[in-house]
Amino acid sequence: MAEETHMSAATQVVGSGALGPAFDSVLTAAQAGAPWALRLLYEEVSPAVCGYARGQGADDPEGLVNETFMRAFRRIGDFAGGPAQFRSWVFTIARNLLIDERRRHSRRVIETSVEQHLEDRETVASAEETAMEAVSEAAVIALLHRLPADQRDVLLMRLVGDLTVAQIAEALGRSVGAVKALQRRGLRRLQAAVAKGGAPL
Amino acid sequence: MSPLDVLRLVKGRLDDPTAEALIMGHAVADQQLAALLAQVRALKPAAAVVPRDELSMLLRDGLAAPAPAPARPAATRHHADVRYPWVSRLAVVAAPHAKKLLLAATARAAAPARRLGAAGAVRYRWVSRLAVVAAPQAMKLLLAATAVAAATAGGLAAAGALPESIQDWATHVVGRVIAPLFDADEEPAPLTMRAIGSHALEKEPGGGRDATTPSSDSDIDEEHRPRIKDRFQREPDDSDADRQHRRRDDDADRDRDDDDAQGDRDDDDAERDRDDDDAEGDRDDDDAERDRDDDAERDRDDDEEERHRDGDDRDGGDDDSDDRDESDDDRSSDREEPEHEEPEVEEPEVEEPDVDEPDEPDVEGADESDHDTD
Repeated sequence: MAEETHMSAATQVVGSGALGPAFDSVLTAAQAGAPWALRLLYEEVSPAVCGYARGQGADDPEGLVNETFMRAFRRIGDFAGGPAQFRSWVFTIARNLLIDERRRHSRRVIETSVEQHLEDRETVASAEETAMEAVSEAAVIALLHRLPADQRDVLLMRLVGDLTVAQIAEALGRSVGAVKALQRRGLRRLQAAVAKGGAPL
Repeated sequence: MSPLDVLRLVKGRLDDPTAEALIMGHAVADQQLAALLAQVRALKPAAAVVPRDELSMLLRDGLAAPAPAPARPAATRHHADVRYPWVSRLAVVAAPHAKKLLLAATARAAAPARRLGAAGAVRYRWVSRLAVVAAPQAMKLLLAATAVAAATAGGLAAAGALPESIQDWATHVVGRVIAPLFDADEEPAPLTMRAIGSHALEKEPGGGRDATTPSSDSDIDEEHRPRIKDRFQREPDDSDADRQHRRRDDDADRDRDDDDAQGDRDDDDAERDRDDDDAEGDRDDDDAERDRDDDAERDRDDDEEERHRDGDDRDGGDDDSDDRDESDDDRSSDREEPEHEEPEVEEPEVEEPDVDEPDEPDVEGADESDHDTD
């Protein structure tokens, strides 16, 4: 009976999105340890985190997503806030994990392994399309790494994570004005790189 | 591209609206850049990443129930058993500040009661004892500080970290000395300050006898109980005849002291009368004699100061009861000397005569016990 209730609630929540109006009930259930609520939160946010990890050139983006949500769910009992804060919080965890990873590896050259990208892609189209897409993705990542880390953070959170400027400011611990400036400078750099023919678009 | 966008590009900057437009996909300024941003967006997978290992189990089974809170340490449990958990909380939290807390509590009570300016102006022990006498409200704070002192007797931060032997000692102080006082009566009993003052409260860690680390509970009993008993209970083998004999001696001593004090006061009164007469007569004289009035005034002041000094020398107050009590204290201090000979008593401050209040029943109790030791 309780499981049915949970499933009903989960169905309603799925209809509106875990980070929508029903976020409070989902969060309460997740803090109580309900699997359905945890799954909803994971499914809602993990793609964006994965995209962010890819854009940051993480060694293992999916692994980083796993670790991010493991940490988030372990500490979810301490979380307080709305859906925007939850998204910012998860991205903060992901960013911290990335920083840790970079510290471990120090500076390393971005490798554009086509084979690895081919393996990682879940949705496989034709071999030619996939290969071209992987090459394109690797080029985009290489282009993003021409940006300073903070500008890359802002653009990825904005473009991939769908965070607002205010949410990014919260995730990075910076002011809204600083985030806007980073975003503007990042776009200008990308624009200059594209103008030089740096991206295979 | 509009002329305005061209101008922006020429100027080499993108303002926020343009950047926002690019970010949101409404590329108006640069098609190449817009296409690049679309590529960046494509980094986000359409579906959730397949969870691995531990996360997969977590999403399937949910979070485990939170672990039960760890059991409280023995000392804290004991405090809770005596129905004063706030004492234990205070003991653990405020442990490093035990002495400050004690001073603050006692000074607050003592200052209005005796018009003392600050805790620093008076002696620590004296203030702490006076506080209990003067302000019952300070009792709880004082006892809390006692628990703090007990918990920190070994210089440790938390009661739970105390070694077992020190826990036993703290248990003794809090459970057997403090708690029964609350159980018996909310008003501070005279026994309290004596008992605490001579044991846990004012024992500095590392100073004097190492009473903070008894080897066992039996050692605690042997060490602490007799002193409380000696001070506030009569010896069981004391005969009524001996007690009556000593009481008669005490009464005689007290009478002699009263007579002396009365005599002193009579002398003072006579002298004051003479000074007053002189001053009255002087006021009837002419202006040239006014200087002598001033002399007489000064004389009166001097006499008054002298009387005060006399009173201080006698360790007395202004009234008879104070004189008697102070003389009692003098006798008490004399009679308490044998306690110093006991091996466990090494704190001379405990025996100081100026700490007891005149109306304190414990003075009586102490006198009786002191008589016993004579």
